[in-house]
Amino acid sequence: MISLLQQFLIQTKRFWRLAETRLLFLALLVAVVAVTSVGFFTDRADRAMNVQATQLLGGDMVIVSTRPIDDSYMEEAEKRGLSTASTVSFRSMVSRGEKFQLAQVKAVSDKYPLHGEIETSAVSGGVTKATRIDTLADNEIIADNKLFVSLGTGAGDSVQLGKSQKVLAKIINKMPDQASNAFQFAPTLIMPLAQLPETGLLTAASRANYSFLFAGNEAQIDSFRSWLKPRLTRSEKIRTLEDGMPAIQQALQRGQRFLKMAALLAVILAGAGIALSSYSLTRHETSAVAVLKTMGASRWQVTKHYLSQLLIVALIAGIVGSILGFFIQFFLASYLQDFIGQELPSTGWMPVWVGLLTAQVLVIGFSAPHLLQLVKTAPVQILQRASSASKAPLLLPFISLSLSVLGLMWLQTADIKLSLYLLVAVMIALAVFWVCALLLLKLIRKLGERWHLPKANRRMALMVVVFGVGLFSLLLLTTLRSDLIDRWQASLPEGAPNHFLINIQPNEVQPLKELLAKDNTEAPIYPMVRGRLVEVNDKAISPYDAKYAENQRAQRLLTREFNLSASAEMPEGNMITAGKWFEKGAQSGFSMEQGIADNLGVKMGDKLTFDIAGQRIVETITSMRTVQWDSMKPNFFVLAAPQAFDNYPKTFITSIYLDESKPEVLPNLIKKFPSVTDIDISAILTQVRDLINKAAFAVQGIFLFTLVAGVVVLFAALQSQKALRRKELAILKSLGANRAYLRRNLILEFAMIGGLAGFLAAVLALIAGNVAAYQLFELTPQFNLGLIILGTALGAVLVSIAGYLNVRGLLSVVPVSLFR
Amino acid sequence: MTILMSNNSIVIESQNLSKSLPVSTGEKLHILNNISLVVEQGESVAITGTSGSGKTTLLGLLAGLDVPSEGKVSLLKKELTELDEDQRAALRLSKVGFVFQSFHLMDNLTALENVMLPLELDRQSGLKLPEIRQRASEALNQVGLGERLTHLPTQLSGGEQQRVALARAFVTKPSVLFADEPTGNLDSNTGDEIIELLFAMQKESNTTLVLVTHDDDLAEKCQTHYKLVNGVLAL
Repeated sequence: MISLLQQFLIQTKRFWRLAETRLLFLALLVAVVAVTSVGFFTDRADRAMNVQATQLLGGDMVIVSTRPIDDSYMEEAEKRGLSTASTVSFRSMVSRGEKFQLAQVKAVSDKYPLHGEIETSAVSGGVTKATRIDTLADNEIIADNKLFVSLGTGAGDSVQLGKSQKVLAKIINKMPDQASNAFQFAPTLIMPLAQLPETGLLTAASRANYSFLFAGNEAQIDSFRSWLKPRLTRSEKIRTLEDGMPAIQQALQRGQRFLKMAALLAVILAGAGIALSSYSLTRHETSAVAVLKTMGASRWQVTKHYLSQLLIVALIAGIVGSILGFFIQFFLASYLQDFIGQELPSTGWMPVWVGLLTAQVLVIGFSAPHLLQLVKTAPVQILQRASSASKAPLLLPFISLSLSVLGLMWLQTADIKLSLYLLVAVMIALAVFWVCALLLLKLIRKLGERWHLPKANRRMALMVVVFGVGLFSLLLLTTLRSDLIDRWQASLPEGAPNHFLINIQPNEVQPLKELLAKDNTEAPIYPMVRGRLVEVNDKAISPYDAKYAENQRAQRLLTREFNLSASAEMPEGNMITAGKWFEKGAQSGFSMEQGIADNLGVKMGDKLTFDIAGQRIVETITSMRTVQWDSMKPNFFVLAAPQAFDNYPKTFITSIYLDESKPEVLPNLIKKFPSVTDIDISAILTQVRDLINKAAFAVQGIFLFTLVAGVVVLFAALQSQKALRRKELAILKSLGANRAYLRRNLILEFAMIGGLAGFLAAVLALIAGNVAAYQLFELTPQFNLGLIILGTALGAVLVSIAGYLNVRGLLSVVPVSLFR
Repeated sequence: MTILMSNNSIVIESQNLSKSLPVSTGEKLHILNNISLVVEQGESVAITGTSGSGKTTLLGLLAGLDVPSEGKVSLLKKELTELDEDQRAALRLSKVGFVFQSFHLMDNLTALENVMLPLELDRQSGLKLPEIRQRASEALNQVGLGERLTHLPTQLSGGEQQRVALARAFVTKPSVLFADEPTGNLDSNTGDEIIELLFAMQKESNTTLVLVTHDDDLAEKCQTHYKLVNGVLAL
């Protein structure tokens, strides 16, 4: 055993002496470092984002119901070691003297919230402190500032709530669960659950929402969820982060998709480096294999020797890469700490496994075809003067590469659809690169004769493809990155709406517009009509229809009322996907949000009937739209032609930005328009902005790894042709070429290769970037000439420098080496 | 035409050995035609011929590195045409040695490691690593490179590299040694030294030697000298 291990170590030491092995190791190392650091980093960032999201929810998992929830759930959860809390919320009138205000009462157990905090202050805008429910005195309650304003009270004043007198102790500034309650009209009032009976407000017939909150580790929550699911009654629902928080969810998903894609490109780039190093290794080892075979080595012995060496190199790269990846992300995360202002969760082990597996998949998938070719080397080749690798069939490497790229993509994204989409894109890009490179080089060959340019050949075409693909990945990532970050920042710029004003009466629209205009605040005001979808193409539909049996979202949509609106202009951030937006003066038609249409199974040209307080409106779908849900502006599933709701009962809605430095604006506005309800979403905005900042930083960090991977590919490609180039230079020197001439030619050749590769890469990145931006991130396509210029220049400069540095040593080759 | 013998001392025997290759016109290029020869244990045989006469091809066929188009060839009493590539390799293992014109040392291995290689490949021998190392250094001592054990091929001269190749070829104490233009890449003085060493080692270990060369003087040093002209063998 010891001798076997010793033998193995000796073999590895010998294998390491090959320059090609070291290059292969470097390429593998970069891939693993990229994958693991990205993995560690996204894992932690992901968890940080989730922590923040659970703070919004108040727990890891929440059950909500309109009826009291079975206490046995709570008991089971506690048995399993989960933390629990419960809440009951309902509306009730709160009064002080002559003043009454409808409030959203939330009676909560002592441990509420399980995640996040309730932040309060003694006066509006005062010092904020986290408040625990169990620190409230027996008759103390806390409430939104709005309740204080409308009742004209201050902290410490008594108010009447049901049968009991309570003291309004503090003002709530921030609390969990705000995101899902953004559209709650009444101010929130929080009281300890223990005080609820004495108010006499809750009876069996009361309309109330009950919720149980649970917190624990992932495994506990998952197993409890599995236990819980079959026991839930019809009225009990599990609420997750996706519910009621589309804005945050969309921002998160977009960020994660980008991170995954960035990591993936780094891996594919490294894969190209590995394929090139393996190719060089195969060429180098062809005569060694022939010698081994003449000495009596069997094919199996040769296979075993090279395969075990490759796998051990991959294992070492995997281990070293994981360690490096861990430290790099650690450095990034500690830098990120100031950004986030909160502790990042610790790392998991998963990225290490992914890193190790990636190295093995890369080495098997990208080296195996070369290895098989190597094993096939005939021993007689050693007697032939020009021993060369036998011609490889193309099918096997093609299948092996495609499968391993797909496998790696899947490993990174856990999304087979996205992986297939990217694989096809990579293949098309390669084919296009190859054809374009050949055509362009043909053109250059013609020009070259006139200008004495280096002779264009197939090797140059190969280099154009290799560099091109590398630069393509980098440029694609650059465009997407800046698009994504710009878009995020544009979607929530400073001054993005932070208040919704709803319940605006028709006669208040004009005066409100004038008042807002005075404050330089202009925003479109939309009518809002609540209607239930009752018929599609004159046929009645219901949530109980068989076609919606498996579609809970559709069932929910059909049980509740939609907010319908009408508009002459298409709201900002919406994009037509089918049909046309209403023409000027149009009086009929519906414009439907694509996602909801897909969910309900309706399409262009379908006739929809909505029931609006007993009146019916029937219109045909004339356009489909996508909606930017994270815009923090009023968005509607269904929009009708401008005057469609003239004769229907309606209120209006708008979203405005109110500067925090002018706190008097809102009370003035509410005083003038007492029926208008203000919904303050500034707290949610801050939370979403936090998330965006984190994700944007993560994106920048990961981009760096892809850049490093690209540089390694560049060197691997140059290295793979070094032997050939050495011979060429020796021949040219023997024919009388001097160093200056050779230098000029080399730099010119590299500049040509780089420029061409950069040009092609930029054009293709522009196309692919727009397609990806539209498909994956729902961004608007745009043309960027600057990218093409940048790509060409970057390619020429980068490849000239890297190429020249790589082959500089060869300029001193002595022609006599040809005879050795 | 050599008379075919059939006794226990025969190491290599070929019967009507031919090799042809298809060419682009669809016709066949005949490289070797009906070669029959016998080589006995301990015998030294030289095959000479001009460039392109097929002498290296014949060497490859006799050593089982390639397969003939027609005819039979046996090596160490095994009919090579009946064996597959791995079986032929197993036959060569430790019983057949090679010396090449371009030395063909592994450039990532030291002189010692290059010589250890054939012993390491032969798992059946049951030799332990220290023994392998011991035998390899003895072989290098024998060729006068006892002080250069840890040198890589790039740090050795052409003559030294060929000495390492000789040590590598003889370390397994092979029954047969095939040498392809062993002095082709060396100056005449160094070449002479190498040939002297080669014959000395061959005699000492009673190894059968099949040597391919275009150098008639060298060929004359062998007991038997075949000439290959247009793919046909003559004494």
